[in-house]
Amino acid sequence: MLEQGIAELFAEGEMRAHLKRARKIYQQRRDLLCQLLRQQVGGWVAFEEPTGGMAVWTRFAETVDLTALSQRCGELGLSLGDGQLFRTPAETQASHLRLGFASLNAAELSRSVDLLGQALLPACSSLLRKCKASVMTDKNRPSRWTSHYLQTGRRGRGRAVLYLLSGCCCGPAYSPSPCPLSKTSSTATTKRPGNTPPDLPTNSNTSTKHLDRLLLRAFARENAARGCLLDLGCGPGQTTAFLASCDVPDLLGVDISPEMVKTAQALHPQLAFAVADILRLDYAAESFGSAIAFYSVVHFNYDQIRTALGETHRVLAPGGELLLGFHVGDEIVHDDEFLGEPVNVDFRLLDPDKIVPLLIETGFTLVDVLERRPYPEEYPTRRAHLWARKSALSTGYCA
Amino acid sequence: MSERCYCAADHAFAQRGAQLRRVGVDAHGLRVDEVEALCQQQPIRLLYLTPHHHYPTTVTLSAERRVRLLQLAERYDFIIMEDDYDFDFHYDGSPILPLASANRAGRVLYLGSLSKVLAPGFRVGYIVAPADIIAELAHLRVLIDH
Repeated sequence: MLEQGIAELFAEGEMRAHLKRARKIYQQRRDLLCQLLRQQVGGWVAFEEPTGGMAVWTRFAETVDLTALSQRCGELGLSLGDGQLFRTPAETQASHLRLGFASLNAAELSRSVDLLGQALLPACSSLLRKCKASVMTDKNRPSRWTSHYLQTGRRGRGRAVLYLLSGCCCGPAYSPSPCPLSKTSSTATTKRPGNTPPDLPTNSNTSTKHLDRLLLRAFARENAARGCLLDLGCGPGQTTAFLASCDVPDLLGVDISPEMVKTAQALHPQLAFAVADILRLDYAAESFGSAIAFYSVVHFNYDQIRTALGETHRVLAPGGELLLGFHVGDEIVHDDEFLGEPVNVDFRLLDPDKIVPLLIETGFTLVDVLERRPYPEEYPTRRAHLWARKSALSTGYCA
Repeated sequence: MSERCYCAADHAFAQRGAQLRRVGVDAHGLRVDEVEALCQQQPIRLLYLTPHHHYPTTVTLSAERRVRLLQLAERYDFIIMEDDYDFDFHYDGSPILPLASANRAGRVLYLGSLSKVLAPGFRVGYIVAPADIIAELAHLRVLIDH
């Protein structure tokens, strides 16, 4: 009876039409799931887009314990396997999952990846604890730097979390077409002040950071041929990766946290990263063609910023340009809790009218000062972007 | 069978007392060189595979390996059970033709499923196989259904 009915569906062409419709829907679901995975959990999940079928075969980062992840997902209301079924005898821990997409509509896929991102946060947090530990146990540093290192350790933590939430490792960080279907993340960490990377967060309807992307693209275009572009305070490398996607052939991302540099390197193996202190750059004069410092001076006071600008000026070749991004204001925002852990950190909002004289003092010429309102999902501060240039005849800044 | 495999198939074969041997899978599908090495060690009666989108890794078995597998089946006298469970769902370009389409020697049993096409509740599938096997399966099906 059933078989006869099915045979009729074939005979009347119904089956062909049905398959055509189904194929189209499943293809859209595959595309959406892959896009969401790349955008939101790209740093933790590797996969190849399947040419067919109903599932994406994913490999999770070694640092992710799939049993624990599966359990956390269950608590959040997402059913996720623990990968044991797919573990081969040679593997010490499960690392693969088959994520089915065929039975989930767009809203359900979006919600599922949101939940997966949330469930991955503790894995992220443990990575960040490692970053912090590496900063705190670095006894070779002079003690007067301690507070600065702690702060940068904290900064690194913030960045990595935001980075995870905005998930930008597999594609350009400043995705020009954010997912049209996903929802704004409700996670509190997206509203932090401080070092919000300019791509934050892509999982929102309006979060394109339009101006930031335009500026970075323009800066990349103007400076691509000038020599190595230095990304100061690169964190996990999302801005570095975006600049690379703008066809900058020679790039170096530096950060004060060795763990952060290791993370950036793991996430972007094709790019170059190194540990460096912005206040004391261990590079010869005129080593770089241009530099950016996007929200990487937000823990510094004005004296430290003068030092940082002087160091940047020194390592830039004559005619080299600098793009600086920060929060506008005159407050110091204190933070004593982050991801459930006690911290003691200040974020400084900065006054462009005080930064501009520092640029001039350290030998730069001002090209542009741009201010914009915050985008809806950002911490509610105005943002300043300063574009400056080292004179083509400059002999360098002497501190 | 492959190293990572469709576990229901594992169980079905194991239930019938089959001794399972496994070969690896890479970006081009089942490792045919490993199949050959295995055949040289011991007689193999049947090879089960999901070549269109390998379960669970979703990789597609390359045309070259398909040809090679058919040759090996001939030389080492084994049956290929081709489980083409999601043939209808290929998005990039045309689906790859099944091994069964080049099956001149009658060595390929081809399985398809309508559960994914219609609804999971309909456990309906089909098999393309030599007449004697179909007759035997029909007999079994009658026993199961009654």
